[in-house]
Amino acid sequence: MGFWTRIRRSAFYRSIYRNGYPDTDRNRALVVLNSLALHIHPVKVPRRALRLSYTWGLGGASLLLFLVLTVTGVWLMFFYVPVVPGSYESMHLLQTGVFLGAFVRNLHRWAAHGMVLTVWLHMTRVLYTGAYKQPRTFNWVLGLLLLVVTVLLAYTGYLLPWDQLAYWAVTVGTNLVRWVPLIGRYLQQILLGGFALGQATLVRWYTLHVILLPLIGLGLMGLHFWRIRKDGGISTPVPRAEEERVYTWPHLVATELIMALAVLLLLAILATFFNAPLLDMANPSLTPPLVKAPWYLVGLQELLLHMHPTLAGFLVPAAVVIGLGAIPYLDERPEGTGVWFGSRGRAIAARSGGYAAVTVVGLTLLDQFLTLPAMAQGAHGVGPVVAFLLGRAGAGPVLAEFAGLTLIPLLVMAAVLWGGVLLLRRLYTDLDRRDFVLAFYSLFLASFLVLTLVGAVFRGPGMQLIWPWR
Amino acid sequence: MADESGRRGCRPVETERKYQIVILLAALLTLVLLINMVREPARLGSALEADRQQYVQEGAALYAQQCVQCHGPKGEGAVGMPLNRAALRADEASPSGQELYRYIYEAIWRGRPGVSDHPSWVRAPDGRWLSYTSMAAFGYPQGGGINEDQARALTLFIMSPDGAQWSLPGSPEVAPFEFPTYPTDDQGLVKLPDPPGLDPGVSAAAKALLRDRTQSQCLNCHTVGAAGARIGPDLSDLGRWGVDRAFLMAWLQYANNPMHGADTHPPMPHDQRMPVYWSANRAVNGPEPVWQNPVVSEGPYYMLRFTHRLSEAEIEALADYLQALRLK
Repeated sequence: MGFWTRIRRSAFYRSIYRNGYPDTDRNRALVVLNSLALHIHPVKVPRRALRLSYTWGLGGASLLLFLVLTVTGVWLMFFYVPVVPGSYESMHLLQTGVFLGAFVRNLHRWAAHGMVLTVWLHMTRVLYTGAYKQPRTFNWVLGLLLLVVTVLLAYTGYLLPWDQLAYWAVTVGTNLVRWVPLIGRYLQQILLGGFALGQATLVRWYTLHVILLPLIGLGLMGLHFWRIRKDGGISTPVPRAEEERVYTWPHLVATELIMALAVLLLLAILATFFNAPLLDMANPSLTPPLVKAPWYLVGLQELLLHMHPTLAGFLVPAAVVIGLGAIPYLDERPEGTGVWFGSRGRAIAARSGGYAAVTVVGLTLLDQFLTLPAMAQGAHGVGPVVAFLLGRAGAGPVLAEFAGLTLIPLLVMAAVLWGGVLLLRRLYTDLDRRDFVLAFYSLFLASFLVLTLVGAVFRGPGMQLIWPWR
Repeated sequence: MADESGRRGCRPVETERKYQIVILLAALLTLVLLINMVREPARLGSALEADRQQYVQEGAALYAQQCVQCHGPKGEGAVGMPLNRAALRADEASPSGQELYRYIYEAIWRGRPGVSDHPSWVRAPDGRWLSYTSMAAFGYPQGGGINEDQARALTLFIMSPDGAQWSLPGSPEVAPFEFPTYPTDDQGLVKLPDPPGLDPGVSAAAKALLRDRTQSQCLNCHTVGAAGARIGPDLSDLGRWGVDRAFLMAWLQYANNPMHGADTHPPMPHDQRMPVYWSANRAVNGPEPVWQNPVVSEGPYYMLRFTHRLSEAEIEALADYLQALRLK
């Protein structure tokens, strides 16, 4: 009797694993049913769901990154203290006096950016494969909430190193909160724990980052995964009874293992070669010439340059979140579930995305170069020009500002949307709701990407447009 | 591994290949983690020293901007106490170093009190001059411009054990001094104040000397009114410092080496030099100056001697002009 056989027959081993090695159909079913980790999956899965090009493993990658963030985050908590200036000193300690300190911090940083990316790509995948349709409508909403929680987790973590990058990026964000109608000021004070960033802010954001938001995320994740099973498992275009199904072990498990290892390997390589930034310690009396939000909020920061803060910082994001949440309820019919784009969806998505990209680039340039000789030096933009002309015509300053910074941008955004609809109507005569959902999401996606790109790369000191290679 | 569901599921070959990829990826991941662990001791070994060096360099830059005016370009002391002394250098981690670190850090962060009865300098019974001026608080909660990390950089700069840090201020790559400014009036002359009560002829002669920066050189380091540099003390208020005319003239003539030609007058000794003869007992904020335990600069100081550049009459005119300045 070999060594391994002896171990497998021992009472201790059999008290842990009740079934034999999964090389028979019976044991393949049991291994999934008897395992806490694996029984998140059904015993058998549709064969088509194994194709990597269907899901790209993005949901699983998000969960894996969350686990990586939890493990590295707990490890970081051993060294981090949420006080000023101890927080920044503990960053230095991590880099200079802790075994693998810099490496684990890098892992945490890149996993955080990666998770925002994978959650967002996962949502995009679900949209373009129509996987949000009946009966998965509510799970789409849960997923959207998880995206919001992920972004909040990433952003609260951004403050904790207490360097110049953290301090001023968070200053930009919390200044935005002030413009939420009616409760803005109170909300900002609650987030800051006072009137400016300081010790109180750090403790609040630390608590949010390490306890409150992860707990909310865990709860939502539990619901999200449970709903996947309750909603019939992974989405496919074929009725359940007709689906060709294969055993989860080894087919799905092996694929998931490959994805997980690939993600971990990529993360480890990133963490080896690219260090997480740590600038000078936060200095309230020294504003850097260029303050940029983290990349997932740069689009919002870019939007702020073109309109009133209440509009850019609250109304537009709120409309986007509500609009995204409403998608499955606008397009419930299960036809087209589980197929990328559908018959003509690719063309619709590409056309509306291209239309949005060109329009947003055009509007950005228009806002940069439209000016009047009579206006103050350096003043430019559609809104300011309208406000200036109205002021000339005798309108009061409140009316002129409202028209220039709120009314005109609202009309322009509505016109862009309506223009997209007219364009689609010209190209296709028989548009259904699925087509509109694809078009609107692509429009949003392209605008967001262009705004992010312009804000991240083409904005220099004073948020002026620049060529980054000059 | 046998795959008995091969007819309906993935082909055995396919599953076999997946396991090969799993093993390959797992091996690569282990390799990357191992490389990180193996190189970590080497990284840690130099990281602490590199971090300290970075602080020292940052501290040097801050020192060149904010501290030279009172403590001297090489830490030799001017209005403020000399900092380039061995007693202020220690390893941050040693017990005495920790105490010293707190002392210096707190002095930077909260400032140091002057003695209210002696706002200006006072003459000790043995004829030497003592500075009892106060030090401003530099921490941002007290209204200063630096944060905790910058105070740390300055403290580590002063404490850097080898003493070589004092060659850094003034070096253009690490810690350049602020460039001097010479605002001019409508006649194109450098703006200089006319002290009230001073003979106009003396004033005009002194101002002409100050404006001739190749000869007098004063404004290359000092500020008078709005003109000049911030390497040495601001002289706009010298009339209130309390030093006498004879001392000022001796200082201008023989402050330092080098001697030229017939000029064989020795430089002023360290413990009798212009500004400072600090008392270490000042740590205990006594109500009166304490004459014991002088704290004297260790190294040479930066002030030049002007015997070979300026005549006795010119030195006299400058001393009279400076002593009449009360601009603050």
